[in-house]
Amino acid sequence: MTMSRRDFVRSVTAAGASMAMAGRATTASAEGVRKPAADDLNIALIGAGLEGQVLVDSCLKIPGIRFKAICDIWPYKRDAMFNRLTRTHKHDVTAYEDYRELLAQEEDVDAVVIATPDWLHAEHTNACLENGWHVYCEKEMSNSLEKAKSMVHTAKKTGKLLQIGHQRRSNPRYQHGVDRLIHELKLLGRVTHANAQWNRSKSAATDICVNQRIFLSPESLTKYGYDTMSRFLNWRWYKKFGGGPIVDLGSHQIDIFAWVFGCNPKSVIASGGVDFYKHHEWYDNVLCIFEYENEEGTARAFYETLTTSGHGGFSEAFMGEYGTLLISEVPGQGNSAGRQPADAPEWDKYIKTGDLMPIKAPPKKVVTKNVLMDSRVSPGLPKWPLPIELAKPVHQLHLENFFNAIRFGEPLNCPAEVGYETAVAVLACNDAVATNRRIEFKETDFIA
Amino acid sequence: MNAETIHRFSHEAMHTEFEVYVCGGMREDAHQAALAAFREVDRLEAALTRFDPCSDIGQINALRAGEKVVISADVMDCLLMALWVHEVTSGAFDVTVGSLVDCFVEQAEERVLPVESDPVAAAKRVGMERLVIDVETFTVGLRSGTDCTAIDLGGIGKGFALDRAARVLEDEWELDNVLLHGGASTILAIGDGETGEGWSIGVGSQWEKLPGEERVVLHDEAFSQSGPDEQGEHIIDPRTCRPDRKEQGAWARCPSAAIADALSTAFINMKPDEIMAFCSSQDNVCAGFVPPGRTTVEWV
Repeated sequence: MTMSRRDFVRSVTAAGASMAMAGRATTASAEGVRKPAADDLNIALIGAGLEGQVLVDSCLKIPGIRFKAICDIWPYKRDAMFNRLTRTHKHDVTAYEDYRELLAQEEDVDAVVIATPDWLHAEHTNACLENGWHVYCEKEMSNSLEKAKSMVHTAKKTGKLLQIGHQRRSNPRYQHGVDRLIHELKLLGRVTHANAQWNRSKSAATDICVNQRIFLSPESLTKYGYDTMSRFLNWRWYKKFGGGPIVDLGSHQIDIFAWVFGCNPKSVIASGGVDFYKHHEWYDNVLCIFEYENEEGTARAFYETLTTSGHGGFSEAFMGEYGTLLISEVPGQGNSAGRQPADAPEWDKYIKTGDLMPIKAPPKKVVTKNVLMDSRVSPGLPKWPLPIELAKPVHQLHLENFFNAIRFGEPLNCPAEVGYETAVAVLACNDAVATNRRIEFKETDFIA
Repeated sequence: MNAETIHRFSHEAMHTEFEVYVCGGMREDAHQAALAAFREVDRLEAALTRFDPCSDIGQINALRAGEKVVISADVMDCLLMALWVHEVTSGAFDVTVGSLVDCFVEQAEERVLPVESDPVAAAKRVGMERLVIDVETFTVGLRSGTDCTAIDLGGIGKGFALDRAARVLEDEWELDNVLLHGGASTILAIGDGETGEGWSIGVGSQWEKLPGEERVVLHDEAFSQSGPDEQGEHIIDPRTCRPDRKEQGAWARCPSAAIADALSTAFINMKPDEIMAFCSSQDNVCAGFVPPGRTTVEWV
C-alpha cells in the first residue's frame, strides 16, 4: 500500500464529493448554500458532550440556525465541537470555557441550548434567561426541586422562553398516539394502566473512561466542582450532579404518563437500590408504581429501569378496555395499537381515515369444507401500526418547536411549568426508594 | 520476536459481532479503549441504519421525488465513499439496492419498514444517480420524477464504522497495534500485529480448505470478503438487479475498511477482466477472486 489509511480515506471522500458536485450522481441542480434570512437565529451551546452533540446534529438540520458560540469546560470536547462547526459546517463560532465569559462577550445571540449535567441546569438557564436569551434546556430540569423552581420563576420574570428537553412531547407519533388515538378517538376506551421501561445492558451502562492524556486538569476539575475525572464523566450516577437512571431514562417516559392520563400522579411507591455497581451513589435499578386519578377514575402506571439487563429495551404501553397502544421513540421497539377483539368496536374505519395503518395480510390458509372449524396454530392478536411517515428525528422536532416559538410565537410543547411537574414526579421515585415509603402528592406540589 | 499479549473484546452492533484485539499494554486500559471504539460504532449505527425511520438513512428513504433532507457529516462521508466505489466500479456497487435486498432476504422481525415484494418494482428504485448529493448544504435529495429509494449501507457501513472506531483508538487512546473487525467479513489492521511481522489472518470461507490462499498478512490496511457461504442472497448485483448466485467469493485489500467492504461486494458482481482492469488503475487496491471453473483464489 502506497498511501496511508487516513490519506486514502481523505482522497476517496474528496473524489466522491467532486463526483457528487459535478453531477455524476446528480443531474438536478442544487440550490446551494442558504442565504441569510430575517428570521435566522443565532444560537449558543453550553455543554458540548454526548447530548450536546446530539442536539447540535439536530440543530444543523433546521434551516436558519447559526451557531455563534459554544462553551464547555473540557477542552477535548470543546475543541472537537469547535472544529466541527467551523471547518465542516462553516459556522462562525467562538469557543468559551466559562459560561460567564460567553455571557459577557456574546451580544448577538438569540437563544442558547444547554446540555450540561443536571446540577448546573438552573445556574446556566437562569443566567442565560437573565441575559435576555431564550433557553432550550435538556431534561432533567435539575436534580433539585428548589433549583428547578427557580428556573420556572426566572422564565416568568424575564418573559423569555424556556423549553425543557422532553422531546417526546414534540414527536408526531406520540402526538398522534396520545392526542388523537387515546384522547380524541378514544381508541383504547378508558385507559386504566400504563407499563413502561427503559432497560440497559451492563455494557451499555458501564462507566465511561477516557485516556488520561485528555483528562481535565485537577485544577479545572476542582474549579468547576468535580472531585475526579471519573465523576465528571459519569456524573449521572452521583447525587451531587444528577439523579441516576430513573431520572436519566425514566423521566422521558414518566412524563408521558401525565400526558396520557391528563393529570399529575397522586402517589408513588418504589423499590430499588445500589445493588450491582457498588461504587455508584444512585440506584442502578428502580421499579415504581404511580397512581393517577382523572375524571374516568383511577389509573396505575408501572415503570422499571434496569442497568444490568437490556431485556425489552425501551417502550411505553398504554392499556385500555379496548386495547393497548405500544409506542417507543424508536418505532422498531413499539409503534402499534393492539385491539382486544371481544371488547372493542371495529377499528377498520380508522384505516380509512389514516389514523391506523392496515394490518399485514395473513397468509392464505386452506379451509376444510363441512367441518365446524380448522385446527391451526394460534394467531397473535392483531396489531395496527401507527402511520410510519410520522417518524421524524426525535430531537429535531422539539428544537423546531422551540425555534418556531421564538420566530412565530408557536406554543412550547414542554414549557418550564410542564418540565417542573415531571421533575416533581420523577425525583419522588428516588425519595420513595430512599425512605421506603409511599409518597403522596398534593396538587400544590406540582406548582413551582 | 516474542509475541505480545493480545487483549480481545467484543460487542454486538449492526446485526453482527464487532471485535477489537489490542496488542500489548494493560488489559484494563485496552478494555476502556475498546469500549470507546464500540461507543463510536453504536453512534454511527444510529445514523446509518435504515431500520429506524428517524435515522438519517431512514429519512432519505422516506423522501419523495423532488424532496431533500439534511444529513449529518458522518452520513455524508459514508455516502461519498459509497459514491466513489459506485463510480469507479461502473455501478457494480450501489447502496440503493435496499428494496431488492428486502425482496430477496428474509426480513428480520424488528424491521418496521414497508417491504417491497415485487423484484421488478423494487428494481425501479435502484440507482445512485437518482440521488442529489450536495456536500455544501449537507443535503441528500431525490431527483424529480423518480420513485422513492431504499438505501442500504450493509455493504459499506460496517467498514465505515471500523475506520471511525480506529480513529478513536489511535487519536484518543494512542494505540498503534490493534485489529478490529465487524462480523469477521471486514477487518482493519492497525500496526504490525503481535509478532511485529503483520497481522496474520486466515482466509476463512468455503475456500479455505481448497488449494490457494490460506492466510494473508496485513500491515496498516483493511481486508474484506464477500461470498455466498453465510448470507448468499444479500449481495445484489445492481446492474442486473438480481442476487449473485455464482457461488464464488471475492476479497479486497486497501487502506480503508469502508472501501474494502464496498469493493469486496463490487468484486463479487464484476467479471475477472473487470476486476483486473480496475485494480491496474488503482495503486492502493488489491483484489482476490475465484475465476469461473477454478477452485483457487487469484490475486491482482
